Amino acid sequence: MRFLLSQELKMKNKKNIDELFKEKLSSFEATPSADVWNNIQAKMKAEKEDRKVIPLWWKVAGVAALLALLFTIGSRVFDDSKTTEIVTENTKEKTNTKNSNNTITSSENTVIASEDENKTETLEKTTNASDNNTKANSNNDVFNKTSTSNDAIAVEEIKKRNTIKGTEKTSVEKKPRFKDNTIESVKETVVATSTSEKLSEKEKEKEEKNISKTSNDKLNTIDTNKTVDTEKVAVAIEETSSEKETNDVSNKTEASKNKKSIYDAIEESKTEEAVAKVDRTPDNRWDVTPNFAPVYYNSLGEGSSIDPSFADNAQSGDVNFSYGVQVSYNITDRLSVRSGVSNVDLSYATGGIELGTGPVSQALRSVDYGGRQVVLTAFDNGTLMDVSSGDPFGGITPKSTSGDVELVQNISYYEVPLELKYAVLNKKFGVNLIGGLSTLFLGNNDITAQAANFSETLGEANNLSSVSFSTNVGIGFDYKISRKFKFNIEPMFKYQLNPYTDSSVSFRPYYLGVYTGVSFKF
Amino acid sequence: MTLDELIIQCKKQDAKAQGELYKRYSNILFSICLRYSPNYVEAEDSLQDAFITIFNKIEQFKDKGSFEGWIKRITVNTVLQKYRKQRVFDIENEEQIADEAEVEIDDINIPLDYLLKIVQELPDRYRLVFSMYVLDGYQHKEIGTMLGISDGTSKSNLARARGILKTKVEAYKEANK
Repeated sequence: MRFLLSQELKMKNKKNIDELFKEKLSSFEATPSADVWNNIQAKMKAEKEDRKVIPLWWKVAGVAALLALLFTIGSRVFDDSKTTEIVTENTKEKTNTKNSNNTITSSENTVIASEDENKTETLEKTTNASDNNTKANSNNDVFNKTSTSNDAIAVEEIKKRNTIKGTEKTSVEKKPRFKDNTIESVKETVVATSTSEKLSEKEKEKEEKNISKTSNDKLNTIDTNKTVDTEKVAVAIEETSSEKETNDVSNKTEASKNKKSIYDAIEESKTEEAVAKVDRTPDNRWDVTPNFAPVYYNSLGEGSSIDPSFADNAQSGDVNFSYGVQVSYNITDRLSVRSGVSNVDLSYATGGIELGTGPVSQALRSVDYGGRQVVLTAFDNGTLMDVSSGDPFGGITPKSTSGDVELVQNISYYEVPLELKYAVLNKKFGVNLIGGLSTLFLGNNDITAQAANFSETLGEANNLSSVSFSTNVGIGFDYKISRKFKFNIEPMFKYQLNPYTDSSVSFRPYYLGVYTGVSFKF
Repeated sequence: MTLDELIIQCKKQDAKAQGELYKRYSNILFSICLRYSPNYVEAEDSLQDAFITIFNKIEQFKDKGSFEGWIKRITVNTVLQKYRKQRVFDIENEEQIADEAEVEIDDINIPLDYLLKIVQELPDRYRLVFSMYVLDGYQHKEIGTMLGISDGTSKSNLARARGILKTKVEAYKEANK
């Protein structure tokens, strides 16, 4: 070999083999096939779309939420038929009480009326028979005034009118209440003609009047006024014939009163429907459940939340804990809506990294270093080798660590869920479908570098949303220990919708938790 | 579009700019892939991976060094990742041939295709060391760090690579006399 070499050295045009290859191979260019670019393009597009496309779980959760909503609406409609029944019952009761109120007020009025009657009767004696109308009018006046509870003034007015005897003036005054006046004047004529009739009978009439008046006042509609008027005319006419018939008519008016009360009932039923619904006192509709869960945090996507360069690194989710309280309200036997608050700790580790200390400008961008200029930061394995060979990332001192280094991101959230739970099986042992949303309020978080002999917090992540949401689906199993107590175990899948403010992060985290708790009905 | 503008657009993940960047640099980078890979197909695969890494990591390029140098390093790293873990069987006799640094041959016109072919045919580690040291100017210390081997192994691998190549060049010379 040596001999061969020395021989070759003597030959002309000898060339160092390194130079031969360097000359030819270090400057040549070659065109790759078009497939390469097509593949790159397809891969980049896929990565982009991965970020844009609505995640499957979002869709699934959407469908679940829609179903839950339909269940809710369905159960509402179903509930409505029940409540209307209850409402009509209630209104009946209510109208009864109202009627009794009416009778009370009318009886009160009657007392007043009878007093007035006495007065008018005394007036009758002093005035001519032809002045009946006047008396009637003044009488009406009295009633009107009593209905407005201005007794004293009314009496005064009567006295005045009696002295003036000016019927025309009063009639002009009464024009707005024209109908009433005519009817009542008719009545009063009747009263005047049948002076022989007992006082009790008159009281009855007054009662009727009062009732009709109060009802008139109440309804304030011309139509009802008319009906009342005609009925009253009938009363007036029939009264002249016989006492018995008067009673009948009074019964009729009572009947009409009932009719009105039905109108009222309908009106009231409308207004009170809502009230009635609220008023329904649900027995044991509420549940309170303190719960506890181990939660496993991981990502569906390939990306890294810390840095895109870690996208292909080994990432592993860690198991942490969630604890909190849930309150649920049973809409129906099967459907319940629930909310609450819980504390969720999540973390995951990124491997395949190396550590270095350097200027903050070279460090990971997703970490908030709190104003420090020289910081400990992490790089993808192999990046720091570039540094040693005069790389753009200058000024970084690699940190040697024993064993593998991991970057651990710890996140703590306060979770407020809003979930619907539908009981598929509702026996001693129950099976439930759960779906809903959670609002996650960011608590503490940090990114920590950990090795066998070393652990240091780099800082807080600055790309976490302070408020984010998750879609939740799960299955709940429960065992009824007693009427009041229930043991629950609920494996839940929660997919985070917008955990990172940086939308280019193709890190799509979710967490799995098995929530256990004992719920108490009250 | 200037290179700076192109880089800015690529940082925004603009597909058009990525296409332009590929057009400008694919030939240079493909030549790297070819001499670090055992064959054409694997070189294409590596080129594809390298560009995806470049597009994804371009945010990290901080305008401090040459952009071409940066993308070349990424390309070299991409290929190295593929082949550096493969073991070579040359632990014995390392120092024995380490001195044989200068291997000279006749300066005859050997086509590039053939030179490339014989480089690609080298065992993985030899090929990497040879390409890094001879073609891309890395030092043995750097090569050792990047491949996870000692300086001595790097030197030995280089010498063995040279020996193999020399034999093949001479064989070519014989065949084409």
